[in-house]
Amino acid sequence: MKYLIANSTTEVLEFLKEAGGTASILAGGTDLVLDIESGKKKADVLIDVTRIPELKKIEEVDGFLEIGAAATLTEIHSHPLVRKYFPSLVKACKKVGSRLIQNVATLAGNVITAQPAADAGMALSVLDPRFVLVDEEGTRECYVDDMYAGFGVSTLDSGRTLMTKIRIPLPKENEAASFQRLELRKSLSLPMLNVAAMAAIKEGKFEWVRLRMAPVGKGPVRAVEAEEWLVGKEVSEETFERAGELALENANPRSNPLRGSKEYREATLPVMVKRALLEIATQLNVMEG
Amino acid sequence: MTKYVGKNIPRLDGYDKATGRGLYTTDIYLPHMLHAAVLRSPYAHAKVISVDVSEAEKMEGVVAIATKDNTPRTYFNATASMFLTNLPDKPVLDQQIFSDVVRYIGDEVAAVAAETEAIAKEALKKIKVVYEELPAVYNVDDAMKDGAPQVQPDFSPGNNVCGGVVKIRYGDAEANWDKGEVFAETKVYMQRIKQAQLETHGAVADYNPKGHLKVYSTTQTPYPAKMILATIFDMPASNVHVKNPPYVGGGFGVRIGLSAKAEAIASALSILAKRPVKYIYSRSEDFLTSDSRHEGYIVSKISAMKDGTFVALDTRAYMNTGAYATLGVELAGVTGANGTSGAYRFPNIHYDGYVIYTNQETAGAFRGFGAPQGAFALETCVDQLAKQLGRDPLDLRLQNALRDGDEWWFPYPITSCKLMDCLKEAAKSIGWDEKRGKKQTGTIRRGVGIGCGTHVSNGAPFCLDYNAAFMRIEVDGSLLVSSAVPEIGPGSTTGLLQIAADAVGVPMENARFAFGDTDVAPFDVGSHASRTLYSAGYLLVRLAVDLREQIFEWAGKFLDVDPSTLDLVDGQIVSKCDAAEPHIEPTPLSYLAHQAHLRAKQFVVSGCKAPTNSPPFHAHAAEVEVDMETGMIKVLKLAAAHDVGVAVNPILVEGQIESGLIMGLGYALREEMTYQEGKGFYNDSYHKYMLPTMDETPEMESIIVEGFDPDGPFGVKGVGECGMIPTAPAIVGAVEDAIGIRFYEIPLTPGRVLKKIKEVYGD
Repeated sequence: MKYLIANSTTEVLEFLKEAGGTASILAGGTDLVLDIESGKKKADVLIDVTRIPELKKIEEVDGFLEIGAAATLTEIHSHPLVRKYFPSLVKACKKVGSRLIQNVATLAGNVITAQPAADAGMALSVLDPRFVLVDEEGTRECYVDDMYAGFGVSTLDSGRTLMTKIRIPLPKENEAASFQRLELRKSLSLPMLNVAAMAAIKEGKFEWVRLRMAPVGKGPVRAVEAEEWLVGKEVSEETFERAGELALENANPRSNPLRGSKEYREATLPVMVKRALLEIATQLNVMEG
Repeated sequence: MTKYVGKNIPRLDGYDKATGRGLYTTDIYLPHMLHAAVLRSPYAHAKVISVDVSEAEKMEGVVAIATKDNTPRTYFNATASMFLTNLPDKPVLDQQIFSDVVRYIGDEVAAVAAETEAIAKEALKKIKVVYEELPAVYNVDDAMKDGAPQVQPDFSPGNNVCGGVVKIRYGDAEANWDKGEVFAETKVYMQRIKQAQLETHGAVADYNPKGHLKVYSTTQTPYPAKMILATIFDMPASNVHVKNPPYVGGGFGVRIGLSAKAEAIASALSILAKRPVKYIYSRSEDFLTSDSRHEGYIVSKISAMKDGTFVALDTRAYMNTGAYATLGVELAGVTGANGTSGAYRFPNIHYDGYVIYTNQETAGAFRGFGAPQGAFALETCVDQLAKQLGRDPLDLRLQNALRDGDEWWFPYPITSCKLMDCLKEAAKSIGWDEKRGKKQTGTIRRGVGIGCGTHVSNGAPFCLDYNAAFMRIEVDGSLLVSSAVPEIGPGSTTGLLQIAADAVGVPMENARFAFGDTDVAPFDVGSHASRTLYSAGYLLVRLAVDLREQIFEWAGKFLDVDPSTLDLVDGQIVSKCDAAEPHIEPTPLSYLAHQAHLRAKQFVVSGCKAPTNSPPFHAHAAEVEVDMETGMIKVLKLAAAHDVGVAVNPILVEGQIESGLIMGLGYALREEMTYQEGKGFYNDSYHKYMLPTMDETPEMESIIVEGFDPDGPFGVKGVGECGMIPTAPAIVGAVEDAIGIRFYEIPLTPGRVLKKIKEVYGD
């Protein structure tokens, strides 16, 4: 196996082309290396993208927060801009594995590995992120729902395409996001359930809500019924509870020998949704937490 | 006055461990060393018809392959019980390195030694095994049914009961049962859990064809390991040398004897290859193929008077011991003895312990050795009785708790007992009076609970316990203690040297402890049963008397004074305070030892002692918070009050208590080995096994209740296992206080808790 260190995006594309689809891009490698060792994934060439300066940047550009694809979770959750605009993303990045993992793993990787319960990717999913992808044919932007092909399967072929950055629109004054996690252990464990939400509240009512949950299907699953129903509804306990029930209509959790039965996950999903909405209402000072 | 005992002396292994210099078995690399991998059974129960290694042998880099066809067929017990079982009982010898029958998923079938671990693993794939699958049985109730598949037909004819029913009878529970006026009965179920010690099992065996076998190993009992290996390979024990390198990354009972089969397999391969062989268990092998804690259930009944006085106790334990006996039989004894009937005044006791073979991973020793199960059962029943009587559970315990001077059924007396103080101190620390029984409403509800118990300071008289050691003064006047006790993590070797330095009268800076090696010292049982400090210390204080006598005798002649007037204080020979004047000029031991050397004399003693036993006592209290919507339980605080006699090194004692508390918390709330039929246990890694981390660790208050045991060296008692024992009862009691629901099954995973909440309170 070859290990190549790329110094620029252009170099990555050259390496990818040379390898003709047999390469894999490596950032943190916290999943990829294990998968290669266990034989789940194959790669003849690993292309290390962690030393490309532009991929490490975290900055505010024209109303967007841009996070370089090689920025580590620790760099993200400790960054003043991320902390200022997206506390729910900070919270979720701190939930991936442990600090040791966060020191090397990336948010981009958390999305591309496409594990349904990936915390950072979940929190990100409701922030309306744009993923900037580069390949032979040029640069394009994708949305969350373009990214997930199946359980642990991304639409992005990391033997041909490089993610360079993630662009997140900055929240307006009446918008806030939240992240809730049901967990057997606070670190070094996958969640039993996680729920992410973002909403705009005006005059005590929801203008719009984005609500996603996992692991209840492929990637971060949208609670469409709840989202639609919530529009124009008054911010109240009763509203949250109804939204929680509606979320179940889009959720199909499975039983896991460790992380809870289907029944348990169905019983607690509405609670997580309720708490996620309450967290938003609290942040916007509409309700007390 | 002691100079070291009672002080927080920094641990002697701290520097090595903090800097990474400390050697563990996995660090051992010998010239020409090979690496091993093991082929394991995919079936829970099957006959091994044939093992064809011809293809694997052809692989480049493969040096030796061990199977049932070319290794000894000697029956053994991989635990120390093989050499510690008291007469006239006999240990159950039901294991072979490789056998004609595999009895659980993961049972050993063959092993390869190759130039690299990767080659060894690759070679496993080329070994062709023909199995004939047999019906299997997985739990106690099924295994005890008529016509159940027989796991060990040669050792439990017809009923899967391993080693016979363990019975304890004291007074006459049956005859006196009806003298009681109130009767409580509970049945509790407890899960299988794993020790999950940091260092996996491992051994490096180096067989010299002249007939000498040297084994570096992770065993917590080097001598019993040596004796077991000598038996398996039919060698003189004096030709087998077992040593820790010197450190062992945790024990918790999982390697009392051999480290699973690491030493046996590495040795078998080394004998075949005539080269050193290293075999380190993967984390998955460690989780799935070494002893675990027994799962099972216990039915407890208490007969009591209306005023709360206990009349009689009747407990029956049914423990799933898995495929092999290991320490199951001894453990069932401790479940009944210390676990259910050790902490209270019960004039009449009836206990039956059933240890049942099944086709699962073996269960054996694990910190507390059956006492955590027994204590959980009994404390649940005591809380039940309190409820029936309308009494405060603390108050009922205080009424019936053992105290100094009480008679009990154990074959040794209660040498010291501060259980009442433990209960009061733990309750005070948790805020019992203010918090217990306060009506809770809303989503988050709080409660407090309490539990207590007792344990041992060594294995006697349930199993053999004694040890031997050397002590000598070097030519420069420093002290060297040689004992085969291991250092598995608690700091026993530091504590023992504190005892030795004080007992001899020399500065610790000039003293050293050689340990964990069967070639440097005579017999020692090893680290188990909370014994190391107590039992080895018991011997060392007596050896110190002999050593001082020898020094004084020689010094008397040399200095021309009466030896009986001499004392040794802080490395100086002085006159005793009360000796007649004139007192001698203080003479450094370094000078005296050198002068003795020049006159052909070294001060050296050896000895051998069997200790008595002294029961430690303890009480834990817990405060918890229950989330009514999710079933999540958060432990807010654990208070642990322990009567361990004198704490030789208080900070190390607190470390033992706290680590026990966290382990107990995992037992109560999270840890669980989940069996999937056809696949085996799901939990094959830390990732899939919910050990608590520091994030889950609540505020802990360790209270060392001031005590002194007349039999313990410098007044000490055992502590190593105690912190594990009453933690689950305290937590489960606190949950009941918070939400009014008693749980009879652990762990209290959120799914289990929420289901019950919904049953009781509705949606």
